[in-house]
Amino acid sequence: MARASPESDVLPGDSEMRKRAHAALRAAIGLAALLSLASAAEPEKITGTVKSVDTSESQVSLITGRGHALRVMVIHVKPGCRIEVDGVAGSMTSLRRGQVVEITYRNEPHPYTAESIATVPSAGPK
Amino acid sequence: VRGPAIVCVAALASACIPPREPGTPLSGLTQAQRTRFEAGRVEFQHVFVPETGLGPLFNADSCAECHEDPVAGGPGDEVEVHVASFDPATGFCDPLVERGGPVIQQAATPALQSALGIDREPIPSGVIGTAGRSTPDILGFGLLDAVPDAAILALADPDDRNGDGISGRPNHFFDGRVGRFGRKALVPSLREFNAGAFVVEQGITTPETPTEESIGGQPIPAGVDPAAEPELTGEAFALADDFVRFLAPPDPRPPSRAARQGRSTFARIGCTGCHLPALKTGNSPVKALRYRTVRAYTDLLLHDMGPETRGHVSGQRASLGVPDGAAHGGSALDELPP
Repeated sequence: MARASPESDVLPGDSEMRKRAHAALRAAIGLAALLSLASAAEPEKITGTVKSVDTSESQVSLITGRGHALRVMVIHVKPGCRIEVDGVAGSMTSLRRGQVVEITYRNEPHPYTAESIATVPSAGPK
Repeated sequence: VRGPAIVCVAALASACIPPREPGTPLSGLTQAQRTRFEAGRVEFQHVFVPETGLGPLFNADSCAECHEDPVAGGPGDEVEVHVASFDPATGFCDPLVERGGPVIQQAATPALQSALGIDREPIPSGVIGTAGRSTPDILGFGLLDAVPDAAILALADPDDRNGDGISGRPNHFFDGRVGRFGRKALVPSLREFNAGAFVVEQGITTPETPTEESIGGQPIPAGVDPAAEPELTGEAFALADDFVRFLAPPDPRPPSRAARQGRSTFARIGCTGCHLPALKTGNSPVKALRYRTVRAYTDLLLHDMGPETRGHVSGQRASLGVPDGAAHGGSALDELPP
């Protein structure tokens, strides 16, 4: 028995279904690519207390955590990082141990690379 | 005549209601919440072993090992060790995280003992302060959690502007939020306190605290902690958290005549300036916690009681103080180097 050609296996409506499947696949790939770009573009934020500032290594150590489970994050300060202390533009040398800061960072080119650092006003009297 | 009679009957009925025993849930919980409370008690009493995640450093193998007397959630006689280093020049109190602080665990699993030859976490060397922290009861802490930050801040008077000789001030967590739990009122919320306690006190990681404590700042030796992270599921943690949140404060016993006189004296001589007889909770998704009165005799603030009782303070309230009331536990064992 002669083998049926591929075309002969195509049922009525199959071609339309394939087109739709391809379109859906393209849309999914596009969406995934967009989401991937968005997550790469979206910086993260962390708030903590400055433990130390190392200008020679361009690093700030930050105390964060939950409850008494405290952790130290080492943040790399890239050139051009915006630093504000009490609303005034500053530099790494303006940062002090004990200040509460909010740091916006990305995980590229290094893990925890700061784009901006700003001191956080205290919630109520100290 | 009917009105006074009803009042009399109601008064007699309330006088006949026995005080609620410690360890019972808040009144007004839904059946579903009561079910979670009971399931959470099981989690709270669950005893961990190394194979289920205990350690490698720990202070206790279950929550109820310390919070035990007379019921799960009550106080305990364990005293844990905290360390810090205070810098007078900057007023910064360093919790020494990179050296194993702020909590120095007092026990080690057999595997860690074999690997490093230690039976507890070593206290960091150098000029540091150590402090003993006794185990408080946690009854009624859900109510304290529901007191709004604004209520705490409204009580603050750090510069004693009203001239009553009291200068209570809030502590702030490392991210600047108002603290209230733990000795020195460091931790902002009960959930965070509980999540932190699992990993700090038992070495049990949760989805909220997914990384283990260090060994004096050093990583855990390979093969010492066999359980995969997180060692407690999110649901099991949430149940334990609900158990603590829904624990009722104990009812006071009917006051004797002497106790009533003492209460008057307590207020007259100014104790209630810090030990506020009542706080009010704010809005809450849990009806039993919403707009309730909390008779915890605290203002959730720090008060400088002088050099002999100061000790070190974690968090943003670097000048030294002691919080009043039952929410903090603690002892007079704080020590700072001269």
